[in-house]
Amino acid sequence: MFTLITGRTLEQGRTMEIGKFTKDYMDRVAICEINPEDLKKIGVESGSNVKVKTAYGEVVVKAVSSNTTSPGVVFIPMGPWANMVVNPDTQGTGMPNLKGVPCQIEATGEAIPGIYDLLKKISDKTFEAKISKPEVAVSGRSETYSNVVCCFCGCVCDDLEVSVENGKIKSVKNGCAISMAKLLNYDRERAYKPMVRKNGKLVETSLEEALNEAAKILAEAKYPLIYGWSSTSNEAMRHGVYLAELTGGVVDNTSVSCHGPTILGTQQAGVVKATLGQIRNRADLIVYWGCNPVYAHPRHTVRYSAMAKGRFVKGRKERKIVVVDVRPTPTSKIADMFIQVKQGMDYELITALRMAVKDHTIEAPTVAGVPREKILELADMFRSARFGVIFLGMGLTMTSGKGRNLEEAIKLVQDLNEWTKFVLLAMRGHYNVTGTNEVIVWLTGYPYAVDFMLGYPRHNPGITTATDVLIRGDVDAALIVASDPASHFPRKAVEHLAKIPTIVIDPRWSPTASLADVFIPTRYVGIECEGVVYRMDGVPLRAKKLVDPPPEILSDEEVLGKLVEKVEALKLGR
Amino acid sequence: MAEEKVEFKEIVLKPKYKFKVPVESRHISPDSFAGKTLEEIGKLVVYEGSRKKVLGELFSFEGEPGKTAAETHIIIEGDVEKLRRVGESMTGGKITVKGSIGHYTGFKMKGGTIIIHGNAGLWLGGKMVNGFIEVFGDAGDCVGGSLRGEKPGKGMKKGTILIHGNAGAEVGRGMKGGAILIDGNVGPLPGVDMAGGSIGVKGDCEGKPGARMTGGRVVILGKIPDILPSFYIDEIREPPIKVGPERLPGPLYVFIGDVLADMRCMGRVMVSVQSNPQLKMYEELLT
Amino acid sequence: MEYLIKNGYVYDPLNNVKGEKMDIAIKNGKIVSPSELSGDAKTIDASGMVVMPGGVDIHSHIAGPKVSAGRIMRPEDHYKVYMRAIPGVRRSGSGKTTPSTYVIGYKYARMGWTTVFEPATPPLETRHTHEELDDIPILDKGCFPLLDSNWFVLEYLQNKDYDRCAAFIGWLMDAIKGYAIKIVDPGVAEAWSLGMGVGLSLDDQIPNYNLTPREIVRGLCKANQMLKLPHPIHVHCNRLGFPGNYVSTLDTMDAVSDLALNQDTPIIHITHVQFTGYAGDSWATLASGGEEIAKYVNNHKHVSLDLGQIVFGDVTTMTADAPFEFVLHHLAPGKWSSTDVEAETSSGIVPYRYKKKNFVNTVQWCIGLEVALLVKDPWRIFPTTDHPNAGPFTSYPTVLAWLMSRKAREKVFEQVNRRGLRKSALQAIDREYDLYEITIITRAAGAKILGLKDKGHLGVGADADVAIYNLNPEKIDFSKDWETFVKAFKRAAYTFKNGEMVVKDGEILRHMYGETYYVKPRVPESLLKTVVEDVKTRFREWYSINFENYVIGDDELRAVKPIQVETTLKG
Repeated sequence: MFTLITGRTLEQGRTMEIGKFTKDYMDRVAICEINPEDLKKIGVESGSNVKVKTAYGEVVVKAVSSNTTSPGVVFIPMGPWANMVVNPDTQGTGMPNLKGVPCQIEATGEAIPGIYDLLKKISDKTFEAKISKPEVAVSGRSETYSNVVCCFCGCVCDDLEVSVENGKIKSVKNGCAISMAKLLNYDRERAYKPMVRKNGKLVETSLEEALNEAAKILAEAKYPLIYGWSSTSNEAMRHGVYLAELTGGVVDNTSVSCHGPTILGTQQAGVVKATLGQIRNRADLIVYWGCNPVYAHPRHTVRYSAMAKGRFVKGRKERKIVVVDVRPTPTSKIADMFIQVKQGMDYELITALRMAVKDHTIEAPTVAGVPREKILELADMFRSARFGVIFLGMGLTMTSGKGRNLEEAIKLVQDLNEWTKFVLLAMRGHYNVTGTNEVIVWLTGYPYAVDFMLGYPRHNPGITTATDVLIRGDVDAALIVASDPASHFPRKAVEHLAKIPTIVIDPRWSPTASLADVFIPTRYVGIECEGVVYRMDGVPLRAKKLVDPPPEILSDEEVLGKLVEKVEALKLGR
Repeated sequence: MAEEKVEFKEIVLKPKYKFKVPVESRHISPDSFAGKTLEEIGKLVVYEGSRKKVLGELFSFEGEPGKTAAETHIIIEGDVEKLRRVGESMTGGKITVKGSIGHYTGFKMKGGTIIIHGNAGLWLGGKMVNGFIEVFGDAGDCVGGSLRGEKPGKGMKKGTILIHGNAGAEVGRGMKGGAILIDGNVGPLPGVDMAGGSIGVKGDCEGKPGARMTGGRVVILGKIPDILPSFYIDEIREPPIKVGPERLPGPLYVFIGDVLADMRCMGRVMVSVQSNPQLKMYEELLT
Repeated sequence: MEYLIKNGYVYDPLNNVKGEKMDIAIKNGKIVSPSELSGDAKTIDASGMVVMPGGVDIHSHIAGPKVSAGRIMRPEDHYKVYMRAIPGVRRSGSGKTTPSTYVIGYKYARMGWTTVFEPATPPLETRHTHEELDDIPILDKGCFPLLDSNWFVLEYLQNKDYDRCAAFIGWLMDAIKGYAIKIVDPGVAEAWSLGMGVGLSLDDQIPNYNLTPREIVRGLCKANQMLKLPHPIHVHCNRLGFPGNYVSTLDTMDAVSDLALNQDTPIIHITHVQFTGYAGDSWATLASGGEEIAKYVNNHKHVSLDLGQIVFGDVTTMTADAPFEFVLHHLAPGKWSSTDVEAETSSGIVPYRYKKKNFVNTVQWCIGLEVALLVKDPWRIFPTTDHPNAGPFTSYPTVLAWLMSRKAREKVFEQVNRRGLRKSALQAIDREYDLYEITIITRAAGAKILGLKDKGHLGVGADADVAIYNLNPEKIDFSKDWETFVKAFKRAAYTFKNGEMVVKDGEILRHMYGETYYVKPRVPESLLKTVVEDVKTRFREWYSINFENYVIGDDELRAVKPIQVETTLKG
């Protein structure tokens, strides 16, 4: 019996941007990292195939020996293969159990399924990404843009320099490996014409027909899901909220499977935070808890945290770095102290720290696998910092306790404010997930998972969250914008998504687009059109347009604007 | 619960077709049906997804309601897994669901009885004021719970909820009183933000029992991974402890807490000694 | 659209109209002379009704990062108070003390208000503030950037470089589309950054700077005078929330009295004065400092005030005074949020409830009203609730009733804490505002103090923002029948915005958007160049974004109304 953890890796992020239908992606994501001792125990050689079985499904992937994976624990990068075996139960939070799933591993002679094979297991629908080339070769200006706002992760670095030659991005300066992958490969795996499913297959059509079909689907639906948003602009998000209100459906963004639990914690306790510049300028103690920025937010440590030069704290030497995680990670390598916490027991460790900070006696000699002395030492370190910060990641949002883990972390930081200056910040994963949460909250009163069934906003994660409404089969149509739930939601959710009429609006092909009934390709925000996006700390930036889009391809904002008009006409009988 | 001699009039509801989207009505309760004709009941508002309809379009009716809520027994047959808010705010009478039911069943109920033969969705008996609910299958998360953002103590106030199967996370979230008894296993955080009342779990608990409790008790006869560090061992209790209609047997480790929520440690988490050998080391602290 | 509002009792203080029966004509979004209307004009019969300019609110937290942070942390504030969508007419929303944007616009318009300013925005995140303002329907709006702890400002003031400080502010207002200088417990963000959770007094040294809050207030006042911005410096005084702090308010008002040369308009505006009007030396001995404050205001024309009037019930306190919120978090345990914005400011949010039987809350309730009733000049006093800190803006009609009717106040006297009532002079005050004065404090004075020439009045050329209330001033004695007043003000008979009828019988008729006002001070080219170079050099070291991405373009906002301002700055 092993414990399965899923999560981001640098390679998963990089190859995802190159293309989800590439062999490269499959090679990096259809794998299972296993400790060499465990490999010996189950008689499997690194590089051979294994079948991973959980109570929720099974999948064949390639076993990869990994010294950083603890004995008893195995790791599969997030993606379509992991989804086949994770636990869809969100325990009333919207966040499925993506970390800490009991599993069995055995050697197998079966082949690793390709992405289409996986999707075929889920549905009879014809999945096909009709990746094509533009009819007319792209051409345009040659120019170098500075102060470019990156469009990949929650860091939203705005100091990129992008050189464009003849209308194509040629090179990128200052970006991390993943941003470069995105900026240099954005035009792969694209569609150049809207598509509509006819006789079971996606065929090219006019924008007008695609929009009419999409409007019909939404207007006729009794309870549609309007989901995604995190890779598009605030301007587009506004239309999304309106569509949910018009159709009486539910609108949600990717925070449901990312930092939704942090929002749940904030709903119980509030939150104490700071913008990244304040942290860079002043923090002399940085804790990375359950997050791995070296993989998931590659420039974070250099631009904003551990290594960054601030006004009052000049660099790494003037800081103490602590990493708390269930296993050593590339980020723990740069730490002064690594605390290994038992899987699913971060809450307990945070509670023990709160006890120590308040000078309460801790009865147990070990908590969550960490000796009491260490906990007391940590508490002292926290109390005596001049300005401490805890960066929080999926290790807290996805493991047992979920929203309560974040609530406890927030309370720890609030407690520490009695002693010194302390803040925390959620390592928001996706580009504009923060911005779209903000748009939803100021327009409706709730930050995500907003239901309009009765004509006014209601919210209750566990019931109105995208994952739950799909897993329970509550929605009868879906509009997916700038997101790929077929790659990142548990199998049961994708099964239902494939059953209902689905509209996808996205710049490129993805497994979600390949199961769509209507697919309208659009422009990339931050590459082919402008848009407002918010960084992980809430700082609002305006993403730029660098190149012209392919002919006739509009922005999400424009397409959704037209869709809104058509749905309005159908609903209001105009 | 004292059996009252009541002359119930029965009204049977059956869905006319399989619901594909959530169906919500705050009128499926003895209080709404009492004293009405079947025709009048058929005209009560129900939402099928975003479509505003009337009950008669979605359900067929047989029998008749009583003159008062207390004399009304609503029986729901067929597949109503997507039906929500059944029994919301009811003050008396009885509802029997022959299969499984959706979310918010018995939400804010003030009295009466709900019997569910199958499973129940989330927030079963949420913010219950009083009454009796019995589920023969499993229940979802947040049984008897308060809503998000609400202060501790805004959950269940009085009443009894019995679950013969398993329950999910955060059983009794924010409860102030009443009793919840579960024969099976529960997810994490039973009794989180609890200010009073009692929760009994005969099976295992995924973890973190009694987090932030300021009163009441959580009793677990099965396994827990560990006790929270904000609790202190107080004693080993031999005699059984009452939760709802039953007495759960000892010996039990009794922990007091949650010191971080209230320094007076008036909450109690009691776990079975036999099922939890990993807690044996606490015995040393008792001598 | 053309309208002729016939026969109403018109209150238009800026044009000296005191309830005369008059016709008001609307054409092309403006007030015109009735003779200019064509035959197509629709007639609105306003006989027996009061006609006023649309309300102008100078201080209400309606938009920005901390407003949304308040919404996020309080889902429970939204469960019971919501508005359903009426497809094709109005959008939906929710929230009692942290309402969503559509609810804000609709509920203000339903009361007859048409212009509202957000009084505190962090410059780095002002793009967010504008996005929210843009999504508030109907109202015209603007925002005040927070400058008291801004690193550039602090450095310029420390070096006594007032010209460059003014130039910097002039540049900043244009760059982020701001309207006025906001000062909150000056320097407190620096203290908070260092973990000092108690705020600063007026003459404390700001950590790491050779400056005191007094010097910041004076310096910014000077800069404002050089820039000639339409609104005075807008100041949230030091020591907010501390018993005895009325002294700080008096000192702050006096700190710039020598700068008021020959001016008959205020050069400093003290906001939510109730919160800094406490006498006594502890919560147990809390008393009102309102009398002293009112006395000062009566004797000094350079000051204006808004109340921050307490309304009993739920609120969500949110302010840039982060240390104060930390203190409140201890007094009212529960949720607490705080955000630091690099190099600029900070904020805090704590949900709270004002209780009638509570001694402290009763004293607080008395102070705002006491000040308003003792200040003689209605042109310098504004009945805000510092929404949502002291009360939600939807309670304005009730607050106004308390000013208009002693009986209304007496009803509250019966319900509140007896001992608390004795801590101010309120019970002894008989004064009652009349409808004309109410018009001044809710419309005319607001437009005047903001320098909005086409607002707050109904003269020819004014924006056609008009409110008509179902109140007959000849038949109603507001002193006795204040409940009728409240009812009428909660649901205006008609509200016009830019000449369009947006409310009828208290119901929203249409969803449309107003304009965002901001100032464009003229900064001489060479001075501007110097200052921008200063900023660019420091930006890299101080901020975590690139300088070029800091500036907000006009095209980013839905509809802008730039106000060119001629400054006294020389190149």
